[in-house]
Amino acid sequence: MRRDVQILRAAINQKLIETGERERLKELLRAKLIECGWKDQLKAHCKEVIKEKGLEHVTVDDLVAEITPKGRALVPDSVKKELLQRIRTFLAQHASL
Amino acid sequence: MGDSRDLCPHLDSIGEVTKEDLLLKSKGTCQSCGVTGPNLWACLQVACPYVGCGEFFADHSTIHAQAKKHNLTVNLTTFRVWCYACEKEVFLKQRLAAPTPGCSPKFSEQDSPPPSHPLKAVPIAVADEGESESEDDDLKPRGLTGMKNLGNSCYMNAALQALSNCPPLTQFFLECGGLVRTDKKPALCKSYQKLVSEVWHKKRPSYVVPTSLSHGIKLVNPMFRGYAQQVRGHPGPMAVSTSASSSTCSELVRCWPRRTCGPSSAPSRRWRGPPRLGSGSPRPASPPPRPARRPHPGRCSSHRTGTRPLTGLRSPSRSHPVSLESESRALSVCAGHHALFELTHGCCQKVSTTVETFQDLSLPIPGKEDLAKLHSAIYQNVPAKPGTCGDSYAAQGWLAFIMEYIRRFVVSCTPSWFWGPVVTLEDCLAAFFAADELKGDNMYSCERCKKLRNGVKYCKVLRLPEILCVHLKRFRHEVTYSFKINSHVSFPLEGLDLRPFLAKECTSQITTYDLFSVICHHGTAGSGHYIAYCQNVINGQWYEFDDQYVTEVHETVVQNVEGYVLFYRKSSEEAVRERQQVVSLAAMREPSLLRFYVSREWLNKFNTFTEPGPITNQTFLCSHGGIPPNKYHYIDDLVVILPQNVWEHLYNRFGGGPAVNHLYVCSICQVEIEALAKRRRTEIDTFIKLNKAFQAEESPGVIYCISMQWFREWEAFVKGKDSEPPGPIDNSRIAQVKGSGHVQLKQGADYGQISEETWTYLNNLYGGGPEIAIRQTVAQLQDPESLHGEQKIEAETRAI
Repeated sequence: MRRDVQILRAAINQKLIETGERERLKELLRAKLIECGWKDQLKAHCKEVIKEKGLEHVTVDDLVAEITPKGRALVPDSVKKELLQRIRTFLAQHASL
Repeated sequence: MGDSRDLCPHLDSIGEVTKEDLLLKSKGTCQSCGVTGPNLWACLQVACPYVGCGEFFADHSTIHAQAKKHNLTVNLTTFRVWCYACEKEVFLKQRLAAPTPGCSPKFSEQDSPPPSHPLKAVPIAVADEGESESEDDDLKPRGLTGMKNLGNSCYMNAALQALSNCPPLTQFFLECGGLVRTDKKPALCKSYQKLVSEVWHKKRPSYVVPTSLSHGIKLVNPMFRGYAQQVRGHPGPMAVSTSASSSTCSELVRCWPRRTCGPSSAPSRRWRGPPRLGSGSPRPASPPPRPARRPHPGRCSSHRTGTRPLTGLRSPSRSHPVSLESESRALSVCAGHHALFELTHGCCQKVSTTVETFQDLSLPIPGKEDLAKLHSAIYQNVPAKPGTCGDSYAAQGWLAFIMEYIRRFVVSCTPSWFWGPVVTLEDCLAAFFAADELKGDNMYSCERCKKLRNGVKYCKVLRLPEILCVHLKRFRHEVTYSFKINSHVSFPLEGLDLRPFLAKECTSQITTYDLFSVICHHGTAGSGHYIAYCQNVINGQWYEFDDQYVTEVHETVVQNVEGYVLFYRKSSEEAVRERQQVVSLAAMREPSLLRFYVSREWLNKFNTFTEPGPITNQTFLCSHGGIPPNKYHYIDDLVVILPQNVWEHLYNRFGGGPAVNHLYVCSICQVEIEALAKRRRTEIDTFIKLNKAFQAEESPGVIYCISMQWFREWEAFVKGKDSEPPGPIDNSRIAQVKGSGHVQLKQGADYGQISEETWTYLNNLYGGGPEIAIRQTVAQLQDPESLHGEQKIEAETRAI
């Protein structure tokens, strides 16, 4: 599934950018994640990691590596569903794909 | 999503392909299993007709490619090309592009030497030996580089091209690149510098992709994100989107200088119409808003104007260019102009004035009736103070005055269907600067007599900028619809004279301007395209910049475009002659015993501005005449070496200075810096030591209070964030003086708790007070009277 998926992804991405939908989706996602408390949860987790490792010893890369899996796991299903629905609607409208 | 620059080496194996060909094939089926599309793939190998299914079925296309060793294939749904050998998507540039009119890149370079143009670039580093270019290079135009459209970013591309072709700005970034320093993210000035260097490079690509700049702009100004793109066929958000897209072009240009070089002192202000006027002597700050009974609907309510629902970025900056960043100096001096607003009070006939700074002029486009009114009003009895337009026309000479009068009389008499009113740029300027009668619904509120009054308001220019940016208000946005004024506004390519609009106090000598860039818009308010036309500074030819495509065009083409934002620069034959004179002086290579250093930034100004002003060597010197220690390591970026004859000529002509023959690190400054560092270290170490001791105390007998506001100032100073030490300790905000004179801690005060020793230490260093101590003694159970008495005794005994 490598080639086809990559090609389709590129085509969809281009369409999203050209119509400005990508920006709108990003904004929507940002708002949703704040609303559902995801941002606060992750922020707290960050602070814990820093406390654990000590402020002088923590690097940005470390932090990113630590919080990424947690961040992904913490995204609520409702948010995932909503964005997916949005993207589906978008694709349906630009049916040439 | 940009094109990848490293080309796939296997592209040669592709045969002839047309879009029709591919469309036809996409309607077919897989030649191996008969399944239909979508997502079929066609082999691109020359003379191979194979079409196969993709990975969602049996992937016969890949089987074919592997069997026959045909590397390239194209997806028949998205028309994107894949190379099996490179294992990635590749791009064929114009191979598969649908034939649209005028799409093929037309770029022509000047090979034969063009007629010499007065604006020919003069080598900036006059005495810099390594900069000599051959004659050919001098005449070959540079900067004719397109910009890729990143997705409806033509507004940004057009604005960037206009700015790129502004010699004072571009030369600054190219020659004084070392001065471009900032710690601020996203470092727009750095991104812009990089872009400009690429565009003007001798070996430039045919187009650049301004992604990092675009990203930076969107980060810094939220208006350019998301909705700053045109959205077709979407009701509802359309109003916001279209208003955003049409204003973004001019807004981008307007906010540009402010954004590239860090914040200036003034906050941006929502522009709702004419400035509210306050009475009193002219002050540089903007007056506090004082609304009339009904808000004034717009600058010229009788004209068709473009109202702006989004935040206007016009900022009345207080002290004009005082900020210490040299880039912001260069830019704001370039483009900002001061306007003087005079209001004649209807009640007392006194005149109040205000001065405001504008980055650009937003001109209304007068309609037919307004034109007629305008042409006749100038010569009638306008209720005005003496010495307004009448005087300025007198300056032009009586003959010119009469000719102009006759011309306008004829135009206004003739029915418009015959003549067709040709609106000129001068008409728009006149409309903008015309007297505004504030009466009826538009009365203003007079501060002095506290009533609503009639009045007449004038606007005049106080200081003319080097670069004049004129924005024609073609777009009008309401909640439910937007429309655009498409009528042609004729503008001069050379010799635009602003003399009729100057205030008496204006000291600018040069008042004529030549056009060097114009941004025009094709289309409607709902959807359209921005294109820039710019005159190349090297060969004086005009070019059309349409995203990636750069084409040479004739002057007359430029005269007939629908101008939207126009860029003029001051024109002066004398300035050009001066520069040539300096070049010839330098060419003499007279030996001189002393070498003279001049500010690179000033020299750049001399080479690109018409009025560079006195030499400003103090920008790289400290107050003691040496180089500040922190600037020494990049002093080469700040200065240029001149031979004596050139220096003397410039010094005699422009004044300023001071003369610098020797560059040395100022030891006085060095000592001061070291002393300061030492002081900071001492203070911070002592504080930490004392505070640690304080924390260790389990039950301190007394706690002293210190204002956190003062403490934060002190902290910023000792940590090096602030260069100024704080003043005396100011506990007044946290103190409450009781009737008895006793000082107590205010309820809810923002205070910090320190030990007595710490308080003594800081108080000895900085002075101030008042002292606020909280005692944790058993005496707390006593009544306040005796407590106060005890404290008094303690204070008295301490004093001894």
